[in-house]
Amino acid sequence: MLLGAILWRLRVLKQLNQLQNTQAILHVFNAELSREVRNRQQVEQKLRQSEAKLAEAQQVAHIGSWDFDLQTGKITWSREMFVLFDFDPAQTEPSYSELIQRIHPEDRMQWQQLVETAMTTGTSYILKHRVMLSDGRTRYIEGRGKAEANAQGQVVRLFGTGMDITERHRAEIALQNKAEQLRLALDLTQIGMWDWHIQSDHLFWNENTPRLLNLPLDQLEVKIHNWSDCVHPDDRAWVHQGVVHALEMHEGYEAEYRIVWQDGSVRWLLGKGRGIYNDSGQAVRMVGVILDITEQQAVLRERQQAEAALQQLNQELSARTRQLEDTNRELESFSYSVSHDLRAPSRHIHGFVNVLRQHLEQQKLPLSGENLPGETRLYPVLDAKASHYLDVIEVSSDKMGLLIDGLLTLSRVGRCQMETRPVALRDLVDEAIESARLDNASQDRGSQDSGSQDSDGRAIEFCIGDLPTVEGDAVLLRQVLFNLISNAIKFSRNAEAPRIEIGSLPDHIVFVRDNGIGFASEDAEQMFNAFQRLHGREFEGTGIGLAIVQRIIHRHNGKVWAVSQPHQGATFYFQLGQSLGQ
Amino acid sequence: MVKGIEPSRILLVEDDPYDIELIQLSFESYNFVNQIDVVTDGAQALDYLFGQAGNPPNHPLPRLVLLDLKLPRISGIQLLESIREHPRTRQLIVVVMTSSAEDRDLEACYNLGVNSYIVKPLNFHQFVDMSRRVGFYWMMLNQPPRL
Repeated sequence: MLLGAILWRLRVLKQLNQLQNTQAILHVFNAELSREVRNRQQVEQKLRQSEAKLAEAQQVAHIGSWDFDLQTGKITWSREMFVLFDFDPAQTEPSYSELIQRIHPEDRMQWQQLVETAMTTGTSYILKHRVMLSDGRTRYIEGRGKAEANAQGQVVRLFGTGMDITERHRAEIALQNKAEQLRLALDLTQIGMWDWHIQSDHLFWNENTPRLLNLPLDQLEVKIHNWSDCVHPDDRAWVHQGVVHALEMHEGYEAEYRIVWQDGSVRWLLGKGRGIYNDSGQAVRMVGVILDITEQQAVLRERQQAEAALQQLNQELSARTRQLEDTNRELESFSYSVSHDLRAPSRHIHGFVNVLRQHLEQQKLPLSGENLPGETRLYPVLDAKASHYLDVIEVSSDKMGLLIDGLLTLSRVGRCQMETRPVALRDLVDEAIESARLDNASQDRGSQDSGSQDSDGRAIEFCIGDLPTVEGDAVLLRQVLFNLISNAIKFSRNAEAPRIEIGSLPDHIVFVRDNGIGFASEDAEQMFNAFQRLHGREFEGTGIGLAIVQRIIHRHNGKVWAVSQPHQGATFYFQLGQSLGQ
Repeated sequence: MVKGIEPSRILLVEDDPYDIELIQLSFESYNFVNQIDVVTDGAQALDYLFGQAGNPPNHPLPRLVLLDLKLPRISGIQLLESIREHPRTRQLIVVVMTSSAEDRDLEACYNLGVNSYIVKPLNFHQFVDMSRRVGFYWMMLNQPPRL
């Protein structure tokens, strides 16, 4: 019992000891554990801090990172990855198929291929691809992936980054466009570009430049003399001067000069350039272009020659015009003087034949030999025959007078100063009708000798329509209307019911129409020539009236024409020039 | 010096004898014309109006001067200019009667203050008619200046 008790005690003691030991160990363990926990807490804190910094850095750089554990199938994304692929960072990472939906369809295949190859073979990849954002925009991503394999070479993990390169991509595209545009411009214009590094005397140029200079196309880096050797010897000095001057003055350089090709042919170039200077103002480079202007030069020279020829021609023409004007003036002056001088003798003939008639009418002579004794029979000196002769002289001198006056008028209307102003044709027509009536009446009286007979028996009906107001010389236009209306009166005199119509058509065409004897249409042109008469003695006239009309209308830059058929009446039209009309 | 105007005297300045005759014929039997003095060129006309060698004329001024423009030596326009320049004759009635009317003649004459400008008609009847009308108007109707 005792032994049992002792043994029990011993066992208890032993157990107690063990317990104490265990307690001590636990203490130690506990202390270590606490230390370990503290350490871990510190590490975790550092880790959190570093993760926060990483996230910040990723956000700033628009770079996301990811990790794919192939054994567990777990995907881990950094916050920025969510942003780049337009997923909500608060949610869990998207599945593979969700992710694929975000990738642009055109890039999807390649992306899948690369990722799957990396998973199976462990190859790394870099891929530019597009992501379709929910707002319709497109984001450009540069994705990088790397594989990690275990000792057996099995890929256990993929990890990598995604970077937003949208801006870089746009800049690249813009640059590409610019380069493309430049290439296109240079191709289309065949402009040669050059860049001369002055200190080292390196001259770089694009393919167009040697083509223009007729040099080997594969030499794109030469010396300045390769260019200047091509310049025409006569132009070399001043072209060189121009370059030096432009560089010194910090000005743009521009020159049109000749070059000589290998085969001796000469071409024209337009060269333009500009210096590039360092901070101390020293020219370090000069860049510019050349352009072949041989054809333009040829055209220019042709045009200059043509212009010179034209100028020559113009001078000759104006000299000729001056001559013609002089001649014209002389002719007008001549016709005026002659008419003037003819007036006096014509007047004298007419005057003295009348005086003679009066004188002879009072003279009676005794009949010789036939007188009966105691009676003295007198007979008039002016017998029927003598009277007829005097008539002929008088009528002829009358006619000459009319001709002279017509010529004087023709000469005057050709020479006189025109006073252009708005003229109401209606007023002129009324005045012209009045004058023409008086004139025709007095002519009739004149031709009927004593004027006692009433010749204007038949009344003429005048129909006057709307008439425009035109720009012109009132005195001259009155003469036109007077002549046309006079003619109309004269040539409709024998009509059953003489009727004269005066009116206007659109575009200020004015007409004077009669129902008189008319004329054949083939005569319509020539009757405007001076002294051209279509009718014989039955209608008096000088043949100058229409020439005067034409002269006046031409002086108004206008035109006059006539339409008629024999015995159908005649219509005369006129229209003043555009510059004077309206 | 004889002063004033003689109311029925005409001075005809005309070089063409036939025209002189025709004008004289026109005025014949027209009793308002007492005397037609005729000179045949401008120099004679000057002598007639202003006297010779510093001596004034010994006849009164005419009521009307009929002036042809185309005259030998001194032209009608020059004569008109002298008439208008001289105080004695400044107001003298001058009617130009000429063969034809050229613009510059018309302008010169009116600038010099001519009283009338007539173109001689070719037709004798018109000529006579015109001469008489001119004569009647200026010699009978028109009130002459008081010289």
